[in-house]
Amino acid sequence: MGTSVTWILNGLARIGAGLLALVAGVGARTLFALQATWRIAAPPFYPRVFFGQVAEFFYFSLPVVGLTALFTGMVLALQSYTGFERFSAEAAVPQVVALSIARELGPVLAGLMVSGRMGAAMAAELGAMRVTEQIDALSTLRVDPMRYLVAPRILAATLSLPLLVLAADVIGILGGYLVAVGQLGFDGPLFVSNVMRFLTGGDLGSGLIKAAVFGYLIAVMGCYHGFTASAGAEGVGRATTSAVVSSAIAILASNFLLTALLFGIV
Amino acid sequence: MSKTTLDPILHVQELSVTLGGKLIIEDLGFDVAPGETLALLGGSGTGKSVTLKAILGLLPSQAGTIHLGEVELRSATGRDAAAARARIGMLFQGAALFDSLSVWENIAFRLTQAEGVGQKVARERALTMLDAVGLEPTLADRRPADLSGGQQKRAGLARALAAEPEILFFDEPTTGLDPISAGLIDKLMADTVARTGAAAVMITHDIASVRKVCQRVAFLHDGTIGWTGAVADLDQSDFAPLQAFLTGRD
Repeated sequence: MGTSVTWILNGLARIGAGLLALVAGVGARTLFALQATWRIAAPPFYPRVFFGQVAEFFYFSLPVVGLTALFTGMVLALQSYTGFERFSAEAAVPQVVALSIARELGPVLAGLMVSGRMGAAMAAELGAMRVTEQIDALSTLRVDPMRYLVAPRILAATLSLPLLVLAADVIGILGGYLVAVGQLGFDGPLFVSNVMRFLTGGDLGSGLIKAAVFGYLIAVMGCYHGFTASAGAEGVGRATTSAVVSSAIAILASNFLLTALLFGIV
Repeated sequence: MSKTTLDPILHVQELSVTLGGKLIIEDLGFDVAPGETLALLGGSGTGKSVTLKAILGLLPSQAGTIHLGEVELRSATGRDAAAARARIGMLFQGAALFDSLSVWENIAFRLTQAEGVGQKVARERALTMLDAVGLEPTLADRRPADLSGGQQKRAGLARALAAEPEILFFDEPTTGLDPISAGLIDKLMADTVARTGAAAVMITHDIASVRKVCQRVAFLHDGTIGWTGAVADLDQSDFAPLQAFLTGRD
């Protein structure tokens, strides 16, 4: 009996400790995000760092995001065609491709790809700077590391990801067009006119709002894990993994909330 | 030994630092005057780097006072604390140069990013500092990764000196260097203190370096200063942990 009670109490203690750690982790990330966000609005600004990050987020991420969008659009056209064929609704393929890409797949897939590429890169770069004392060195040179390293990255990510998603939307729909016209026998001008007629500004806008939120989350997670890295190369590796995992989870969780909010489901 | 008669510019009293629930340093005190170099000696993990980082505000301290001139750093806030700490220049153990910037941009970093100095003037100043630490101007546009360990340390020293600090911290400046490079760094530090009249605190395990560069020693043991005295008195000390440290025997 005593052993059972001890076993239950130990289990409850573990659950409690896990919950406390979870709350502390969320709190630490939220505080970090608020501190960094406040610094975006207040001078001094570091445009060189900002534009460098815009180039990294947009220009250098475009090939991987573009390829992802292209193949996603192609697969989507094939899948929706074979599915809709069962109840003679093949004509809806252009609309389905456009809507799925603009509202959901464009922002989510671009977000996940960029979190793997840039979230990891930010965590590794800032983590290496932390363990080699470069972040401490910034402080001794009268430069606030949060303002110099974190704020420009968050701003760049928040502004760049919508641009990247806009490009992904175009490329994804182009992928659907190529398959639909080239393989499935759709009429090209009709495909385009269906897409243009069906897709609203609200569809595109909701995807871009999601992209901005995802960009913000990717940068916060990447910077947070890099900034708090410790214990040498192993610590930097752990920070990189944690940044990718936590930003992917944050993207997927916030995607649900944003979808519910943007389309008035809650 | 050259004994200074000037008042201390840095005066630390009863400083305590706890990290992650563990007491690292307790009731630690020392002072250092302009033109003087104090060696902070002690075994690994005794809190030497923690002490310097607590003074710089990079780590929190829980008790004690840190007077930098007239300013008490632990009670000073915001701009007052930042302005006071700006009087300190630091040479980090691994130099801590910014990988993404060129050597001259590293040296002029504080001038360009914190003090609004223009690129042209800042570059001129950086080249002057490169010359002062014995580095060729041709290295100015290289990346830190292209420099040897000794050159990186000298570039790090040039960066620390660029804003003409009144106090210099050297964190294990000769660690990882060959004897010739270590000798060059020692000479550079001693010459810099003599030329600028700055006060300096050096953390090191290199006793030969201490004998060349420093006038006084503060030995950390069990999280506090166990022995303090002139470099010339090191060998005559009867403090057993210090003798064990010097001779490498328990």
